[in-house]
Amino acid sequence: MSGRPASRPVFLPILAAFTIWAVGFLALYGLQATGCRLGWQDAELLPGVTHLRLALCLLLAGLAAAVVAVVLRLRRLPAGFARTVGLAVSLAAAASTLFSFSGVFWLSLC
Amino acid sequence: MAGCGGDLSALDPAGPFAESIARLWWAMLLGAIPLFALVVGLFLLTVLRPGFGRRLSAKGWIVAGGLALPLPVLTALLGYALFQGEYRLGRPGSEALRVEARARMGQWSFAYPDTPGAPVTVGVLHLPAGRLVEITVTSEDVIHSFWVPRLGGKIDAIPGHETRLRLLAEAPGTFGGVCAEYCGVSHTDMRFTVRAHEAGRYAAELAKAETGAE
Amino acid sequence: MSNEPERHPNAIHRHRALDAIWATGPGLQRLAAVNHNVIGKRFMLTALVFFFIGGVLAMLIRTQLASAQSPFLDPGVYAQVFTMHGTIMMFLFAIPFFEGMAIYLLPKMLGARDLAFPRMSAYGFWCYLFGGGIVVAALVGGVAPDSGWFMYTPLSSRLYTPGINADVWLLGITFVEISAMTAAVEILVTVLKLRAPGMSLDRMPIFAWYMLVVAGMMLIGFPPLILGSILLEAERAFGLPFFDPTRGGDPLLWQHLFWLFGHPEVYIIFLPAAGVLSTLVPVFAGTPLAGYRVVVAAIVSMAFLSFGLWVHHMYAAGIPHVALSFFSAASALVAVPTAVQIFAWLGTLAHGRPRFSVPMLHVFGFFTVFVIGGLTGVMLAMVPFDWQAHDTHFVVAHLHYVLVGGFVFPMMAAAYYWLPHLTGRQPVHHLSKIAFWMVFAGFNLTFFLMHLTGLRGMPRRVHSYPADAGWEALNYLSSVGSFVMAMGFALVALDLLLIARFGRAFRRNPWKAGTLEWAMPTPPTAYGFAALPAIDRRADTLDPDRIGPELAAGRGYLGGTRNGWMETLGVDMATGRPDQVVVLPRPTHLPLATALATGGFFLALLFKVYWAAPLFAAVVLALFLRWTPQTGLTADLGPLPIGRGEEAPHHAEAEAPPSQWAMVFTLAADGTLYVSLLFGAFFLWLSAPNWPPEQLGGTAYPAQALGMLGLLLAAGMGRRAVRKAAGAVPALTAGALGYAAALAGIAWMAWTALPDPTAHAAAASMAAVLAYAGLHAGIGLVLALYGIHRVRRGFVSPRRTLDLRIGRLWHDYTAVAGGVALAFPSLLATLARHGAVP
Ligand code: HEM
Ligand SMILES: [Cu+2]
Ligand SMILES: [Cu+2]
Repeated sequence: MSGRPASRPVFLPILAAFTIWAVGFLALYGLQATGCRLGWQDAELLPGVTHLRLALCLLLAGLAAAVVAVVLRLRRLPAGFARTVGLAVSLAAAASTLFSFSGVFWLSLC
Repeated sequence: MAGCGGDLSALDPAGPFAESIARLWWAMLLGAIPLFALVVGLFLLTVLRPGFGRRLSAKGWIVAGGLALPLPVLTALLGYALFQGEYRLGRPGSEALRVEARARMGQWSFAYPDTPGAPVTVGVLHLPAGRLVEITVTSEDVIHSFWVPRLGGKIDAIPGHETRLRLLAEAPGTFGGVCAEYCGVSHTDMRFTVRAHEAGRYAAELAKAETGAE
Repeated sequence: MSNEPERHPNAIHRHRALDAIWATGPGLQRLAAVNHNVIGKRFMLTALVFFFIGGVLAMLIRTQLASAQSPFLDPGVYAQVFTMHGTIMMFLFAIPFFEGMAIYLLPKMLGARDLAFPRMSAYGFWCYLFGGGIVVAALVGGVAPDSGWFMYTPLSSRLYTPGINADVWLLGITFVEISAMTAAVEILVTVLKLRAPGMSLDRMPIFAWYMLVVAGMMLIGFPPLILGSILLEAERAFGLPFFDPTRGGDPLLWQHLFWLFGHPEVYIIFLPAAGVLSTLVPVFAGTPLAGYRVVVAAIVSMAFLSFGLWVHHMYAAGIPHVALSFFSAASALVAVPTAVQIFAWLGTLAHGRPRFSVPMLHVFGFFTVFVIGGLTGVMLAMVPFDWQAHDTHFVVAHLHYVLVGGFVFPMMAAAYYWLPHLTGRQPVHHLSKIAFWMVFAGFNLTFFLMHLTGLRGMPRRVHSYPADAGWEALNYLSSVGSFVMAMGFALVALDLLLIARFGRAFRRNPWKAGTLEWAMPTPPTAYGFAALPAIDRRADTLDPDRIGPELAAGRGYLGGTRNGWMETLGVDMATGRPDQVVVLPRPTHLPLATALATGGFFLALLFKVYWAAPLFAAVVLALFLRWTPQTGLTADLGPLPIGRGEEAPHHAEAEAPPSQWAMVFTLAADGTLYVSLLFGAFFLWLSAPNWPPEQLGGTAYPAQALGMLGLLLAAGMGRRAVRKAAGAVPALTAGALGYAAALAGIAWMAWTALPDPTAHAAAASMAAVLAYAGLHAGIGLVLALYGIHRVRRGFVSPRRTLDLRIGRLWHDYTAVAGGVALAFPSLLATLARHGAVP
């Protein structure tokens, strides 16, 4: 057994951002369904803003922050395959996060 | 439009919900044709005319066709479609007239809780024309799907669940309805008819409607 | 045994020596074949037979629908026909076909001599063959599945499908899916570990990236389906009401589990075909693929997105709009990575000097047909439009545009492209063009019109329709088109046969490709490469005409033979630096025997001979243990010379051998299944009617504590065993005792805290979770005992702890999963008690 391979992680940079997206997807869907089941859509915090909507928006903000954090972290990687592909995938994940979940701001919840 | 008619044609709408979806379809079709022509045309040009498109870098091809082209189209389309979906779903408990649809293998039956004294009708759904109707759908056995193409989209009838669908028939008339989800050997024949009556005569028509299967 | 390889004076000598080691024997020895050439071809040929059967069924459908009130098939038969058509095409044709292609091609493209687990691929093949055989036998016997290829329950439940039709699907397809799971693990490990030295990740041929991603998707995508099938079969056979709304189950749970598999499935089918295109287009353009890295990013993005759109099959199920919007948006978004790939191919063509030849004709077929399928896909992703088009012939048209455009045309291109490799003969184009145009024209006539038929209101899965609906002319033309297409397919088949039989022989690399599979003799030898190449650039821009002769002359890695071993190199995942000599197992009948026993298990369940099922399971386990004596070493060897002055350890002494990775990936799939089960129970609480149950149960603290302590002990001892290596017997014995305690705790828990599992889905979920834990503890026990056996037999030393490390992975996982399982009944009971909202 020779010494540890001198390789940097390749898959982590490529998979991290979209894994957050996927987990966030399940979390948002689960939160929405749980909220509807427990009646959180009936309690209004402000006019028109229910507890459930607020919770969903906060969760989405958290997700977006996490994905952006991944993008920023990747920018510090040395140039190379992992960085190029990782950044491309992570930017796609960031765009997807906004694109796929922005319904929580305005669509009917239950 | 010619060739689009028929008792069950989603392209021959008879109410605002089906109408809006048909409009969406025509818009998407109009958008799809040039996109199709573009991609296939580019393929043929690059293959048959070597040198075509070489001035654009390979990266340029990917960015232009893979990102710049689809993203705006998809964003606009999705926004419009979600907006339209919201419009069709509406808010629950609005002033709609309530009707209950019950599915069971081979048969649809309809009850009219908002119309006192109305019988349960089997195979025929009576509606007032020009009035918004909210249909609550459920099933006694397997999954079915309630669909009146000329009035609007479909909604599944799921045992243990109640689903809602809002319909509006613009004018009096008769429309075909089918079960759209495969539900066993009687699936093909699980049709029903929708009769939209003039609003003023609705209660009277419903009162004398027959209960039995047709 | 010697560490030094035997050198061979010339290419002929070398060939003889390697062939004697690698070749599959004649006669009954063929049933013992494990070589990827043989298994890959068997997979593909079997898949083509199923394609033929599925195609005949399609012709029956089209004959029936050609006129409005056709008396040809009665509704019951029609239901079997369309269900079997869909089932065969998806499960028995498309997936196995590309698996076979990957099995055949991947080692060659990667510069390896075989796959990582040849016996597993043989076992997978037999499972596929026998499982498919069961399903087709049911068709012949007139008891085929008949609830549609997605088997919606309650229609597929015991009450509404009392016969064995649904059991055939649930058990037969699960049997077949074993082959998908083995292929997934096999492909992942092979691509990650068995490559030519120097082939770092960013030098892999693009096809390997596609297959890597596809295998990862299969690993996560299939477990929900397998879980759903097990649960539905448990409901049908033993009355556990997971999907029965009258007892706290929910038919929507099935839909979620099915489509959580079913949609990624479409991309699992499309991506290998896209990999073929990414390989072929550059060859015919005469220039490397444009935007290699962007394409890798696109396929990774696509893989993730494709897991976020399963609910687009359930838009009409009354799910709240905001939830639909997530899925609708993801469905639209998945068009972007698709467009990126399409324009990467166009950009490649634009920057090359394209040659037009028969494979390119099929690429043209792909472009036209698939783009239409993609555009209608975006339309269907829009919720309101889908409310109209869902479950109509519009969807039938869409799905065939996607599947035929995105899979069948690329596979025909692949067939014309790689047939010379398989047969050593090159096309002579007589029939190829006319055959293509017939398929193409027939296809479009059949399915283009179907969009309109659907929009004019024709639901799918109807065996007749009213003559006055205005659908008859359209249907008639569709049927005519389908017969033209069928004749076209027959011509393609004939053409390929003629090429294989009468094609021109060629020397090497007929298409001037840049990938390694052309740097070997064609048709290929069993060992593929006489020596393994060193890769110094992207492995689709190589020069096979130069590399081929060098390798044949033994200039490269592993150019000699050693101890009659079947050797190939393992490399560091990222860098491609060689880090082990992987010694592969010899041909054996064990895969066949194990698959037969597995088949016995499934047949026992199918025919409800329940007492026999555990017996067969035990036989399967025993046979699997018989696989192991061939693997491993009983003495430390130290570094082995691998040629070019380099050395690497035997895989049994290596840090990260393939089997260890296989266990990691297997556990990932297993974990996905488990998480799906836990989410499923959570979903029932959220959505199912008739909650909360009358009896909650759920708590028996001493039992739970005993079980958890046992599992912790087993895991701790598993770790200790690795440290003790040859002295691991006491630790492993303690670990086995821990498992015994855990099993006792689980049984106790089931006995005291579990309400009647047939009464309510909550109790059924608890039972399922506990059964899962029990099964894992049982396997853990076997692994601990197996470890003891291996230590006693001398397979373990401080350098050789592989067996114990694999065990440790299992013990760790089981401790976590089992711990959750033991707490789960209490959690679910609490949820049910407190979340009891009207
Ligand atoms: C060979 C030419 C083919 C023809 C003429 C054909 C024809 C049809 C037709 C008419 C239906 C609709 C049946 C109905 O709704 O009543 C259908 C369903 C289907 N086809 Fe095909 N098909 C062909 C090839 C394929 C291929 C290559 C695949 C997949 C790789 C495929 C997958 C399916 C699936 C999944 C269904 C849905 C089955 C169901 O509703 O349960 N077909 N096919
Ligand atoms: Cu039906
Ligand atoms: Cu889908």
